[in-house]
Amino acid sequence: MITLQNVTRKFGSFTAVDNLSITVSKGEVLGFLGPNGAGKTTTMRMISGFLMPSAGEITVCGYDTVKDPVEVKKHIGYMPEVASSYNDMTVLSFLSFIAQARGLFGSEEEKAVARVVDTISLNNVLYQPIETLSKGYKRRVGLAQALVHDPDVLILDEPTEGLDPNQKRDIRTLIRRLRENKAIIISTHVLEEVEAMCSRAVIIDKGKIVLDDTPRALLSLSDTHQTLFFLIPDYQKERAETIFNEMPQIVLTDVHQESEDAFLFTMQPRERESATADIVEALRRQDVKILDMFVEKGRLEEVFYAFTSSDRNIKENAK
Amino acid sequence: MKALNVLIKREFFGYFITPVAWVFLMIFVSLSGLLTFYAGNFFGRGQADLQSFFLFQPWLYVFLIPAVSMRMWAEERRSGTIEMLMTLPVSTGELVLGKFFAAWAFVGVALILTTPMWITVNYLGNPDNGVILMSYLASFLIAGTFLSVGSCMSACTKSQMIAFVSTMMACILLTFLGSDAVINILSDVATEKVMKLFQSFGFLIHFLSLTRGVLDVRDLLFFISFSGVFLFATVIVLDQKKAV
Repeated sequence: MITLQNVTRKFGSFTAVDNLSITVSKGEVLGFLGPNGAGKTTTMRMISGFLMPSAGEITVCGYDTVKDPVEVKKHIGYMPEVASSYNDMTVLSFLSFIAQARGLFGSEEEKAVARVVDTISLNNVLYQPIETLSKGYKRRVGLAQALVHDPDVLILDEPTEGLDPNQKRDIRTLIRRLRENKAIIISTHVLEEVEAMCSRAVIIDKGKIVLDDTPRALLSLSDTHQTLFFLIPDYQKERAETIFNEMPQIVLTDVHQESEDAFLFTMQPRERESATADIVEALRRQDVKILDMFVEKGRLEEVFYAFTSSDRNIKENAK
Repeated sequence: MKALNVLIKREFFGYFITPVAWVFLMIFVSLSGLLTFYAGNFFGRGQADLQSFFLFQPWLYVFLIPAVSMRMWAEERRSGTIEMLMTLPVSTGELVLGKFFAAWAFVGVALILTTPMWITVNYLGNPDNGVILMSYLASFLIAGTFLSVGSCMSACTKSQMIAFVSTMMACILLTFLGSDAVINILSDVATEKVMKLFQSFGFLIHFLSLTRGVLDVRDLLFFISFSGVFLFATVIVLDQKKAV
């Protein structure tokens, strides 16, 4: 539904987006990651038709953003990074204005506004001027504005920025519910959000894509991916340590006293394959009691850092 | 067309949400009255017409129109709403026209509020109402032209102050072109042709010829095409420089 082909955008001599190509299809939720200034907002602005690409081609639902900007805009709901609305209008009159500007009148308009007010739970503030709302509510009005016409394509620039944990949760649930028949692009700095609601994650840096995969696959690139933790009672510390040291698949990286009568063993697999079953089996055979164990699935934060920081060494290590 | 109506409606009623609109209307009506009676010597002239009323209108507009037009685009840029506005499925041209017509209609309201003046003059004597109607038209046209200039200036900046000052300077310049003062200065250095050119661009000349009650198509065309040029320029400015 969204196709970017070799898209470049320059501001003067500065290249904000550099030869970027992405395709997003229906049902996908693409998490757009990258440090500040990586080109996320510029890319989203280009898809939404606010900015024109300097080179390359963007199509949304089959329409070209340069040749058919109005058609493209009809199919898109866009929530800008600074989701400011007309502050002196009330929530209701603002949403009605947006609905009308999008060609919904009369009963259609009423239905659309009622639906979006219900989805985003804005009932309590309908008649309040937008400037009197809290930050969280203002952002929700921004989101409501993007959803009024039930668009096929949703572009959300940091939708959960500045919201409290409950509101963030609501938005995540909402997006998961919306994803079925839409193509959605979300930019965010909150990495756990990508795991929670995206089916695909794209990391960009300096206007270029550095990674494009499922959040799960990105996690597996993390250094701590598959790190194992075993909690062993203190009287069996020596025996466990010998076993761990003898296992060829793993390297014991840390042993420390977790509580009065238990030690926590941290180990890293040599290969990127799970060694858990073998270890458990070995411990059992020697009658070592396992008080607790868990496997780290990896941290997106590490992957993000490794791929977007300019230090080459770190990047190579990560690979 | 429907979208244009929606835009005009929002912009127009948008003026009345803030107290600025009411302050503007009050200042416009009271100042035009004051100027008519004191500076224009309405009673002393002993004539049943509104010449002394219309004579000062362009000068009033020079200061008041920039106050109406300054927030058109500058405010959208400053607050960031321009991004939301320009991702609605309407063309830039429609957006520009929507804001322009709303502002023009607002000034129209201000003009309508001065009709007690007309009633007064009809009560006092027998004025030529055709001339007065034509003068109202001329006044409305010159206001529209100033607004189109203001729209363009406002699109160039995100500071309302800069929009205000630059629009005012432009309007003063346009009004002065072709006035006797400028022509006198020019007469020493410029040829007849250059002076004619300047004169033909002077707003005052076209305005005064309309207020005399002569409906010259060239005067109408002058104001309409002038507005058209500046509105078109607004579209270009916005398309070129969308981000802040």
